[in-house]
Amino acid sequence: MDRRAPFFLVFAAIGFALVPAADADHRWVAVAVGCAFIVLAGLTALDSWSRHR
Amino acid sequence: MTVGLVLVIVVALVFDFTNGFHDAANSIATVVGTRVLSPRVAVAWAAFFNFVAFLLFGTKVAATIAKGVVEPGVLTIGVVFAGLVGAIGWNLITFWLGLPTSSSHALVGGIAGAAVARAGGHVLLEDGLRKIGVFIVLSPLIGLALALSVAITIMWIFHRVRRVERLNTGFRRGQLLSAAMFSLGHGANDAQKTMGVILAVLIATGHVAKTAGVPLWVVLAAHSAIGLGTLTGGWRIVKTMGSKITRLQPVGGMAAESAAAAALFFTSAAGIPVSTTHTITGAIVGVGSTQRLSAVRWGVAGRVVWAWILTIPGAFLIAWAVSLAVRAVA
Repeated sequence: MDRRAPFFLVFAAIGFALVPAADADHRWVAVAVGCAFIVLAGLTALDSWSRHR
Repeated sequence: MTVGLVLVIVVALVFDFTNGFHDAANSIATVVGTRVLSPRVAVAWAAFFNFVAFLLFGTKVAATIAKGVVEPGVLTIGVVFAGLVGAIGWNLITFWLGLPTSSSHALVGGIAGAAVARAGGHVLLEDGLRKIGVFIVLSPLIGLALALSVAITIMWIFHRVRRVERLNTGFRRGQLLSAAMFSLGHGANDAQKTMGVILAVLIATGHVAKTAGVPLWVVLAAHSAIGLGTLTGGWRIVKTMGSKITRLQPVGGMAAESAAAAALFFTSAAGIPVSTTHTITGAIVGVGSTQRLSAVRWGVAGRVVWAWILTIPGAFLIAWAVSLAVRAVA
């Protein structure tokens, strides 16, 4: 079983969880990290699905 | 300049040297791991780009270290000395154990420990420490996400190519460029931490005004020390970084280094002192996970993460003890 997608979702959650702790100038970095991992989770889920089809 | 001030500057440069020595692995592990360069040539390549980084980046990270970790007023010669000894001590312990920990966080932990031993916990600056703390977690994640994205893009562009050997030759050449970029980022972010320490002690002793920037001789000395440290290399950590976390092909090495370099360029320009070690480790894990998660040796990665978690407390405790000893002697 491909565990990458759930793993990346955990990383996305960590990114979003850090948004309130980040200083105002760099809050967008935490948001961008969260969003990037959601996209990567989606891509790896599609990759896994296409390999098993 | 007093003897004490000269001694602290020398110890700061020794720390910078150990930083280059300890972190040389980050710059060259992938080029050595994929056999693009021999270890000897690889360290010379990395050391050169460590040194020339001063031409391209400012000194914002130095300002964060000098003025953003503890109240600048508490940074006496004795405190900075104890902080540096704590950081160097932790670096040597983790070097001996072959663990790729962060020299930057050892420095932050050391300075914080020495300052707390001297004046109490109230001297810690919450905003600066929070910024550093958030990026302890974010920097490997940025490295991982960027490296994975670069690797996926490369695979997508070249997936129809049949002549894999020829393609690999191209990526091996590309790795020379990506290793150079990463070494530039390493020199820019890490040499500035030493500049920050020297700037802090120059301000504390009244040799430089509080609002002044980093003097040019400090910039050149810091970049020379880190370059010389890289030139002498640290082979135990190269082994962990280059092959134990995940086996790398030239394409993976290039993706990991260029992603980590991009992250370091951004953080250096933004004045955020991040760990080059954390960033490249995240990037290597990102490349490994393009295949499947089992391509990453999670036991080794987990050991590395524990060393990261213990770095600030470890350096803090050594510096705290040294600071108390310095105070008792002085």
